[in-house]
Amino acid sequence: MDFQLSEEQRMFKQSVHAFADERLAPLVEEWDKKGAFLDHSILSEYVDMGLLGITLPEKYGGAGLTAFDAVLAMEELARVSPLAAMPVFETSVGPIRVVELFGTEEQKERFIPPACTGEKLMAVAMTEPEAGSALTDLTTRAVLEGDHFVINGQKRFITGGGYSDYYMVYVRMSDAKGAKGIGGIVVEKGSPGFTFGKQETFMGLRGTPSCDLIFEDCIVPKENLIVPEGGFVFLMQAFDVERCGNATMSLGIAWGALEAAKRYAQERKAFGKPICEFQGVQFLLADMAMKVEAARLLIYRAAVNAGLGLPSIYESSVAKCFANEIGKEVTDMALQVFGGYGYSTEYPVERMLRDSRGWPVAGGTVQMQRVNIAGAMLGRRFSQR
Amino acid sequence: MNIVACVKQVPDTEALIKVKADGSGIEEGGIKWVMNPYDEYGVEEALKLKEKNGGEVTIVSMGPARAMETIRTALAMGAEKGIHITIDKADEYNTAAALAAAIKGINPDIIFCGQRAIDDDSGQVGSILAELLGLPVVTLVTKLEIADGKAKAVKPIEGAQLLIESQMPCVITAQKGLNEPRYASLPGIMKAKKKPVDVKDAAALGITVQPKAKIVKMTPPPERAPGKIIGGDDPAAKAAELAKLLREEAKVI
Repeated sequence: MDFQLSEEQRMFKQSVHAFADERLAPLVEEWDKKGAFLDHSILSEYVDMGLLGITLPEKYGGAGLTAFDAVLAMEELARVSPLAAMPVFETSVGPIRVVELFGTEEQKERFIPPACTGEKLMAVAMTEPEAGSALTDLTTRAVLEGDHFVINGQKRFITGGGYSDYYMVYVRMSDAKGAKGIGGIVVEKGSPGFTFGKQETFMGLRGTPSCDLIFEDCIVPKENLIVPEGGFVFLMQAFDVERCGNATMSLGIAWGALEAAKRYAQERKAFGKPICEFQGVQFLLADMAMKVEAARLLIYRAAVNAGLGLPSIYESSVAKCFANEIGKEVTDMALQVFGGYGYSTEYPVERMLRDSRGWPVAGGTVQMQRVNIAGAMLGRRFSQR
Repeated sequence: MNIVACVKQVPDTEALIKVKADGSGIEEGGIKWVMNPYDEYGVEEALKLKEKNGGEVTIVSMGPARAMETIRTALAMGAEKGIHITIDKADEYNTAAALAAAIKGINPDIIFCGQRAIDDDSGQVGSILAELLGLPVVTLVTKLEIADGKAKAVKPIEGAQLLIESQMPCVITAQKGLNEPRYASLPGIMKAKKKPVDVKDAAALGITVQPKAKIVKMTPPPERAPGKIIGGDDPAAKAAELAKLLREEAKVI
C-alpha cells in the first residue's frame, strides 16, 4: 500500500491550492454575506485550469482522469468554501456522470462538452416536497405523447435551481411501483411549462442557488430521456461516486477550519503566551487533526478503489457518513479555539460551521448512510417500508 | 522566438524557516519547495512572448534532484522543454557560469531571470549570466515589449521610471508587476510529464565549480523587542508623546 500522491497529483494539488487561496478566498465572504452566486467570469478561470469535467472522457472535452483526481481538487477548493468546489462537483461527480454512464452517443455529444467548457452546467433534481430519503415515493410524472414527454410535478431544494441550464429530473414514467417506474429526463431551462420557485435561504452554503422546480404540462423532446424507466436501479451505483464528492465537501470544510484554528492558536495570546501552548487547545487541535485525517483516508480509499469506474456502496457510505459527522465536529471545535471571535461573523469559522451542516442532510442523510452500511455489512437489504 | 527562462527552487514564502544549530544553512526537513516568485514572472513573460510570436520556451534550473519538480511546474505552465543542472548549490558566480554553459548552445533571442531569489536575496545571477554570455541586461523590469528586433523595457526607479531600449539577444530580470503568472492547468500538468528535460552535471557542461564566495555563517534575526503602547484618552497628547518617543527613544525623526 502506497500513500504517496503521484508527482502530477502533487503538482495539481499545489496549483489548485494557490488558485483557491489567491483567486477564490477573497470572494468567499461576499458569497456568504450577500448571497452572491459564483459568476461566469470566475468560472472561465476554472475552465483554464482544467477543473471542469476532470472525470469526463477526453473525447468530449474532459480530462479523462479518476474520481480521486476530482476529489483532490474538490478538497483543496472546499477548504476555502464548498461553493468554490461546486463547479468541480457538478462536472465530475454530479448528474453529468449519469449522462456519461447511461446516455447514447448523441446525448453525450450534446450534453458533456458544454459542461466541460462551463457554458451549460447540469443540476440534478430528485427530492420532492413529499419525497426525501424515501426517494422512490416521488410523484413527478412524465408521459410520452408522440415525440415529446409531458411532465407534471414539483421538485424541492434543487441545488443550482434557476442557475443551471440543464436539469436531470427523476420522474415516474408508469404505474410500476418504487424504483421500477422511475426514469431520468434532462429538462432544459426555458422549456415550456418549466418554472422556478423562490430561492431558498439556508443556514449555510449561502450563495448557492437552490429552489423548487415546477413542471406544469412541461414539454420535453423525447431525445432527452437519459435513464429509461427502471434504469434507476442501476443508477444507485452512480450515486456512490456522488457520495464521495459530498463527503469531500465535508472534508474540505473541516480541513479549512483546522488550518484556521492552527494559525489562530499560534497567534492569539492568553496569560502571556500563545494559546497553542495550553494543553486544552492542543487537545482540541489534535482531535481535529485525527478526525480530518481519518475522513481523508476513508474518502481516498473509496475514490481510489473506484479507479476509472465506480466505488462500492459500503466504502462510499462509510466515507460520506464519517466525513459528514466530523465536518460538524471539527468546525465546532475550531469555533471553540477561536473563542468569542469564533462566534463572530467577522471571522470565518462560524461560516464554516454553518456550511458544514448541510452535507449530513444532502445527498442521502447520514442516517440513510448507516442503513446502507449495515446492509452491506450484513449482506442484506433493509427495506424501510 | 527562442526563449529561455531560468528558475530556482526556493522554500515556500510561508514556510517556517529554522537556521541549523551550526549556522551552516537552514533546516530543510518538512519545507515545502516552490518556484521563486520572481522567476514565475519571468516564465509567464516568456510564455506570453511565445504565444504572441511563436517559438519555444526552454526552462533552465540548477539545483538538487527536487528542483526537477519546479522545472515540471514551468513545463506544466506551458514551456516546451527543460534543462536540469544537477549541481546542488553554488555561489552566484558559479551558478551563473553553469547557467551560461547550459544556455550557450541554445542561442536564445531573450533570457528571463527573476530579479532575485527570495531565499538568499542576492540579485546577482541574472547580471553575471548576461556578462558571461556577453549580452546586455535590463534589471527589475515591470513592462516589456518586443518590436523591430529590440526589447523595450520599463523599470521603475526612485520617483520615476525608465524606458530602456536594448538590442537583442538580452537578459531581462523580472520584477513584481511585470504580469500575473498563470496557474499550471490540469491538462498542462498531464502534458508536462512527456516533455523533455535534459539532465546535465558539471562535467557534462564542461565546468568545474570553484567557489569565489561562500556563506560563512547563517544566524537567525534577533527577536523583535516588545512594542510600546501609548496610553491615555487625549489623542493630541498621545500624538505628542509618540512624536517625542520617536525622536528621543527610537531616534528615527
